[in-house]
Amino acid sequence: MAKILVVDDDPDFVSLTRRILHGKGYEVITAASGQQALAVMRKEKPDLVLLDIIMSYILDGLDVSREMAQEPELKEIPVIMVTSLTGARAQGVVPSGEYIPVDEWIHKPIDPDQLLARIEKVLKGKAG
Amino acid sequence: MTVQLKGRAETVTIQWIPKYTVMERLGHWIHTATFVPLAITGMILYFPFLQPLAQGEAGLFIRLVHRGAAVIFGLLPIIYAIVEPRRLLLHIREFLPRKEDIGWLKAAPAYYLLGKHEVMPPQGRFNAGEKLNGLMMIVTWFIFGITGVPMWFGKGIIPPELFRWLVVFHDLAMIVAVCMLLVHLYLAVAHPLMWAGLVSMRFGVTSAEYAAEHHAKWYYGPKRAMEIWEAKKREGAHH
Repeated sequence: MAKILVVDDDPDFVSLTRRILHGKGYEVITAASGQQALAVMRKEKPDLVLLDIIMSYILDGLDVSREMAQEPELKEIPVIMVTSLTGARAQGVVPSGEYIPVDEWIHKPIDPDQLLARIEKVLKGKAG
Repeated sequence: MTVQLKGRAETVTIQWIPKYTVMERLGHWIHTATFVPLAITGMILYFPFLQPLAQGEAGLFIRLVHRGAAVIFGLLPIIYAIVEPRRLLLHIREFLPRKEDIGWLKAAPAYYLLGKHEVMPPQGRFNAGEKLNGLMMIVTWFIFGITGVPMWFGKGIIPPELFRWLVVFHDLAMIVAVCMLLVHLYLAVAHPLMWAGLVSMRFGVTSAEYAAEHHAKWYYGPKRAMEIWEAKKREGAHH
């Protein structure tokens, strides 16, 4: 089964997500900051990353995905952003000046079924 | 800030950043709602020219309001610590003094009075002014507690000399806290650069643009914030 890295500084969210993912048989590893996430990724090579944005600082999660894109060993790992950022509702409104490689975007609080569906979709896309 | 999803045309725009939880905002406004009557009734009891207002039944009522508000004011931080201990620890960590605080103190006059944005080094989630305000609130809360409780229950038990000192420290703490409130009120309501403070205390969020400008270390992270600031300074020097 796929190995998923959950990156979030909120232990409650990590614990909830771990339960949801374990329920479907996924292997779960965790990190609580962007820096820690990159170190874990380099060592563990997860199949997918669930990434919070605001951790040590506001753009911590986005910097992780930016850094991943620059590292040959990490750039193929799919990323699902999981965030509570309010303005994120405004999808498709403004053309981007800055490209940050993100595969999916999920809002907190998460719906477990939606989360699992998105993970499956992204993992299928990766395999295909 | 806008993020583009991989392989798709759609984008995500980040406009609002969460800054305060519901409990924090509720705590702030209950703190305000108790501090203001405490300050007003306290000043009536403190200033000799207002003391005629504190005679007879009016005096009893003023003391009752002062003590009732004091109970809520005193318990509020304790309740917050019980309800949101993790957030409290986060705030304590964020309120610890840092090198950037010295930069803020040096740059504050030119920044706030002359509007020179480029002189202000990148700040974290709370700048040194906010930390100072928070620190004074904590210190005065302690002083109000350790002097107010014996003043309330210890009359006739505590030696008169000690009682007088308790009153002096209670009054000094009141003067400091009221001065801080006036500065805080001016910055929150009237100062043109600080509009987002009131927004975030009402709605819990601050704009991404405002956070990038006023709390760059919190927004970009320490390394990138410094790089951006240095680049801006270099650009300013060229012009």
